[in-house]
Amino acid sequence: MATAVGTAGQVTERSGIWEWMTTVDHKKIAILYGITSFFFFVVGGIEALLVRTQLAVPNGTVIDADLYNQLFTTHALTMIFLAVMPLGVSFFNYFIPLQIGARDVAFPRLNMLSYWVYLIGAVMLTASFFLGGAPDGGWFGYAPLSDRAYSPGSQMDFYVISLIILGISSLIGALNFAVTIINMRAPGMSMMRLPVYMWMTLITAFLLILSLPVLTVGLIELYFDRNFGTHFFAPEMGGDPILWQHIFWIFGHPEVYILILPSMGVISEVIPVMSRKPLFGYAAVVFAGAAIGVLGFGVWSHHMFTTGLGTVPQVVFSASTMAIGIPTGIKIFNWLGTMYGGNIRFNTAMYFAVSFLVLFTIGGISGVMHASPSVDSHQQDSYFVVAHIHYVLFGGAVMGMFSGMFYWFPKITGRFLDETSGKISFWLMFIGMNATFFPMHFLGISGMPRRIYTYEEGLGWDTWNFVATVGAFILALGVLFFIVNFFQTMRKPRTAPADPWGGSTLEWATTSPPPDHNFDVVPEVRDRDPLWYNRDHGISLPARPEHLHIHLPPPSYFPMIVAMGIGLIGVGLLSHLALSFVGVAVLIYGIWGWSLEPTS
Amino acid sequence: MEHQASAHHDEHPPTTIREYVIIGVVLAVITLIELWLSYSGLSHGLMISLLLIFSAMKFIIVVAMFMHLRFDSRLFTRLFIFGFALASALLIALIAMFNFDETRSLFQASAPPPAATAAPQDGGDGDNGEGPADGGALLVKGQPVAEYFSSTCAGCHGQNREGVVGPALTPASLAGDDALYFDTIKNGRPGTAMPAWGATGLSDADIDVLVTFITTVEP
Amino acid sequence: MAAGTHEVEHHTSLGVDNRKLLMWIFLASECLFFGTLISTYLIFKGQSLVGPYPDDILDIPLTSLSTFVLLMSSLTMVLAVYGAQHGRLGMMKAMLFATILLGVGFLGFQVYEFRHFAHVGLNLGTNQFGASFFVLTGFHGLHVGIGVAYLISLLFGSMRRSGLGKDRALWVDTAGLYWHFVDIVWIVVFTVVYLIPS
Repeated sequence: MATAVGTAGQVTERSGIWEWMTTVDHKKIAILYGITSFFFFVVGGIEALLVRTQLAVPNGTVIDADLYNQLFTTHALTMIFLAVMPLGVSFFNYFIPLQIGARDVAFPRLNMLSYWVYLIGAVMLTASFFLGGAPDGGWFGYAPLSDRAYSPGSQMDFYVISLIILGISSLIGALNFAVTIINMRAPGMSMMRLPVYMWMTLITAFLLILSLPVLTVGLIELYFDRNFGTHFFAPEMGGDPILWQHIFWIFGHPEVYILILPSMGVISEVIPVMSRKPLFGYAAVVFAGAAIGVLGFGVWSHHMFTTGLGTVPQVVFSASTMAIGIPTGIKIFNWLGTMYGGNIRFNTAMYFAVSFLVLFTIGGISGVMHASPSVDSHQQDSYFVVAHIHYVLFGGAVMGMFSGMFYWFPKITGRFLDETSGKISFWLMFIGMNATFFPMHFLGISGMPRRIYTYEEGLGWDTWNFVATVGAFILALGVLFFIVNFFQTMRKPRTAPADPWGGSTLEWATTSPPPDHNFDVVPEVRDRDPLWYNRDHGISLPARPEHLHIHLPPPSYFPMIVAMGIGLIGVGLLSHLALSFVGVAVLIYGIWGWSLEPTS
Repeated sequence: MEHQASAHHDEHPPTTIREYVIIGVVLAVITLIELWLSYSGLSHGLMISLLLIFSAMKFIIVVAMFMHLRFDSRLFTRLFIFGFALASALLIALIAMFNFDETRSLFQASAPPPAATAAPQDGGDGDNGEGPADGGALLVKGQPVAEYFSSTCAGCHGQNREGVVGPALTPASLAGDDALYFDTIKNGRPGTAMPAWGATGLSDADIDVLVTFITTVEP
Repeated sequence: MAAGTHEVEHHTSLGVDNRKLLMWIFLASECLFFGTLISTYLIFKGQSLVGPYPDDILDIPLTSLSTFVLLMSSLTMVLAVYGAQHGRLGMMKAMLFATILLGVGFLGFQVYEFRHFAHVGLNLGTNQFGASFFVLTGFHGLHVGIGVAYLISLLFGSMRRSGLGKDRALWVDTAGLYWHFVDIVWIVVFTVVYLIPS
């Protein structure tokens, strides 16, 4: 595969593992991200299955209360920070340069640093299970429950440190992606000719860039509360637990859009291509996405209606929350309008994309219900909220990601995932997901609080809990089918042509899988759907020149060293502060070597 | 490709060394004026407004001239202003929500008592008439006692005094001697989260008001 | 963090350098970081249950001096950028050195102030003022420290035989953006924490 000129020659001489560890190729990093995040998707799924098994029948005894608390907390953290976000990053990595016609991202080594830091944070968070217990305060770690007084072990320290580390990784990645999309587009690709997926990526990147620092400050303050005697969130000394909630949700609500926007971008690619029609209302979809991004910063307190915000804030946040439903609705209609009258190919990618529309709409509607403070105060902390979040997160984000996997698999590997097996896994996941999460609406309405580890018989919750557990296992079976499909496909020969779906964006203009340097000649862009424009106007891509002089960045192990420095600082903050100083030294050495390393 | 790399090298901001030094002097002078202002004894509001104006001036001068935004790509300006404006908006929203307690107490006044509190039968009447009226008459540190309780004690004892981390503080739940409550507020309760409020500048008279409030006024 | 991101040459869509763009977006992110810290400080203003209170111990004249030091470091920094852009390398190195000295001076003031406060009984856990003050100014100080390290590495780089290479002006300019940002954060902190009376 490494046939490009430049330094690619050196790479092939090295051993396989070392090549993967030092690569700065965005496609390889994307694959690393993809595999790691899918692994954690499975881990998070197993945690969820344990939770559901415990709740299958009243007075369950599968796991005890303490382990249950750890499991539901790490399930949320794993799925959000270790699985769905990085899975999105994996696609970003692979397709940003390909869709905008660049040879790589703007900062290839920062890209690899982002992966390493993510891996360290992920391992740290998961390892906490074996080092005195995993975080058990819920994914939003409400103070004062997460303060030292009520959480004396090291569990919430793991939460704080690993989230800060994962935040660093996301921030580095987001900065890199934003610069790449803004500044490295192919000739002719104006902002309003960017593929919608790129727009959603850009908005996601900015949401991360602007919301992560807020969380970081909150986590720092929580860490200081727990370890250095401050009382930011402890009321007995004048602190205010509500402040933690504000800080967390100022990050936490944009985070919801960080999870869903990438999937919205994916289906904005899949639906037009599979309907063989340009996206209906490109500008509306783009501006709706931007509006979601901006409004997303003005709705956070709807998570806190029951804290006694006061009348004015309740009205304001209720109104802004309802308002954010509008751009979301606009997008749904645009996707429907794209399909309308199209010559639709219903393959697995399209199945997942259409299921996104259905399931995300259900989740969106229950979301708007929460916008009313009076309704919300009945649903707060009940299973209704659990149902809502899983419809948008699983029905929305995850189904969209699966659509992307089936859509882009031939581009990434040169092989088609099996369609029959794919459709079986789709139906299992679709039925399983609805069987699991729809009954939770009923459970919530009939008063079942979230995060209880067991419940008494005869409260009217028995049937639906059992159904939900059965659904969870059907869902897991669907994922298992996908995994089997993946391994079987990887043993098949590469048969995918450059453009198997008749796609419109630039990634389909190069071979499957693409060469190291992506494009022999960077294509010129004349339209929003450049390949369709070229097809309709009889323009063929320029031929490969005789001599390619493409300079690819050499591999580097400094990202790994810098990440190790960051990881050591984190480990030091969890154990002995002295270790942090070793981490700082490693970090300085890494950055120093990084900046002196020749890049040509 | 190389011409691209050198393209932006030639576009230096037109500012001369002399102009940079003058800007530096101006910044220093503004700082001196600010220093003088903070000792000037002007009225509170005027002083704060002037201080904010002067520091905004310094901020803008540094960003426009030293960071070259005046001469550089407009994109940089937009990006920075977006981040700065968002941070400012969040700051203002947070400060507003934490400081303007009228809305909070407005909400509290109309909230029904929680089921957990053993509310007496006349709760409906007493709630609307008695609570705010008494809370308005009694003052702690110059604040109506209900408001003081809401902002200072409610974090542990609940907005409706129903008890959260600390115990419930309603006439129904407080059967003990007033002196005990006085002592608890003044000196704290060792071994618990209850601080010694006497040490924080709460006067004995204020504590008396609080004791009367929790032992006689229904929430 | 942004040090040493010299990567492949690409054409750029907007004719601006990637590194500078990265720095500006990063600074937008930093606005939110300090915005949250300052919010925390303001929310806890007047919420301290025990002393020492801000009015008791904040030394405005002394801090004005350190503010002046940091402001002047911005002037020397911009002159270093000027030197780098106009090929006056001697001036660039001298001004980088002066900026580093002034930055270290500012940190010295801060260390003195922190020690003094600890001495008169204000610690992180003393009250809300202590907590929010130390965390806000401490993290600003951390940024100054990182800036000093950043500038030292540039100074060392410029003293190598190969100097900072053809991107010299950009390296210094980007570092300057970071340095000035840390300065304007201090402009806000100085006003909010020290000058505005409680």
